[in-house]
Amino acid sequence: MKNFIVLLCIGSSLFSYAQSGIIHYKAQMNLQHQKEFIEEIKKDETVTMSVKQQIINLYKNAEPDYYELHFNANESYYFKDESLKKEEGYKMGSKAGQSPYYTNANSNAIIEDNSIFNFVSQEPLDWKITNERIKINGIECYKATSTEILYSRQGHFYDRDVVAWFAPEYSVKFGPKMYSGLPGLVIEVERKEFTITATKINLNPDKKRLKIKPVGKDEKITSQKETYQKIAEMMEYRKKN
Amino acid sequence: MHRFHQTFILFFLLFSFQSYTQQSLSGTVTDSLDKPLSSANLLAVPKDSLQEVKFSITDNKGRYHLNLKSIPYTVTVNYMGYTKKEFDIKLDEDQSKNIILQEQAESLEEVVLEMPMVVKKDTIIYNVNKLVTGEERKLKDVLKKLPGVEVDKNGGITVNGKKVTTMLVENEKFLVEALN
Repeated sequence: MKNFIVLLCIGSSLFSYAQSGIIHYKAQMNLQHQKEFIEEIKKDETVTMSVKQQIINLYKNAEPDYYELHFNANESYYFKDESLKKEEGYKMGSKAGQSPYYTNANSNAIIEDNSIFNFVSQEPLDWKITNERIKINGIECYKATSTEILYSRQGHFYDRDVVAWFAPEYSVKFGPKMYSGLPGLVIEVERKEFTITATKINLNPDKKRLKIKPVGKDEKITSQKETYQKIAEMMEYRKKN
Repeated sequence: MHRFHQTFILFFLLFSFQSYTQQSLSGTVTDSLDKPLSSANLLAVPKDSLQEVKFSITDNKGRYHLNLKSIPYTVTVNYMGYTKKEFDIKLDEDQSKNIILQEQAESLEEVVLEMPMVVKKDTIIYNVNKLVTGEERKLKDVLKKLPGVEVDKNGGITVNGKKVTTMLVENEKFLVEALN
């Protein structure tokens, strides 16, 4: 009987540090970006006045987007929460993206579930951590920077500086979108167009509430390079027609 | 003259080696029962704030690896549900170090945190609803409750010791003088 009790204690301690959580994020378009875009479109002479006005209105009434990040020890799933969206026609969002992301730490894979290209594997970002830190809600956050390389629909590469504030005291290596791989929970990500901020942190939640949708082993996964190729081909095709 | 050149080059080489060589600090992070902790994070913060912060996340065998310069660092080891560990180190050669973390009693509990504010380069946005009790009569009373904010007798506002130049209330400019 004594042996049994000892075994039970060891057993429970093995399971007590379940590293899981649900993080709620809110993304908003940056005011500066909004202003710049409106200035640009005002100058554009190829667009008619009425279309201009419509685009300006869309930008001025841009709404935030809401996302959730669910994770356990090895994987995470990041997706948009559509339930908070008001249903009244087309609204401009935050520009922080629509796709869900599945991340597997064991295979080092970050896979975007893209509406056009289906599953696309994303390259992990190379983070530099600075000495700058700040307290957010009593949580010490460090500043990390990186550069994201993107491919435009016009068929050229461009890059964007990314700033992430993360909290080392919460040892979570997952983050929103492909902004993961940092030594701590991502509290905020800022890029030229948008800012993604954690609004609610829920650690060790009821296991039943975790929604992680892994990418099946036999699913076809496209590399980022292949998608660039496809975009270039599509642009070529459009030019011809 | 030739000799001088040689010594000069030698000196230069030595000097550059001194400043650029990196030493590795590696080992495992385990709990008190010697079970490896994977996804623990290590942050090596240099005492010289101009130097880069280095980090490592333990793999599924609890292993970590940090490449450090020969300068003093403070290394912090974090793993949720365990007491964090901190130590100072200055490496002159590669070193291995195994780290044992102690479990916290309350590690099983669910933790829920609502985030009341947003940081934006030079602006901090507070969601005041989460911080006030409703008994505040003036904006000054509200400001005093915000973390890091201090209001002096003359109505000057500082946040973490830095003077506030502009304040927005509901995205509209608010005159600091109007506080009194």
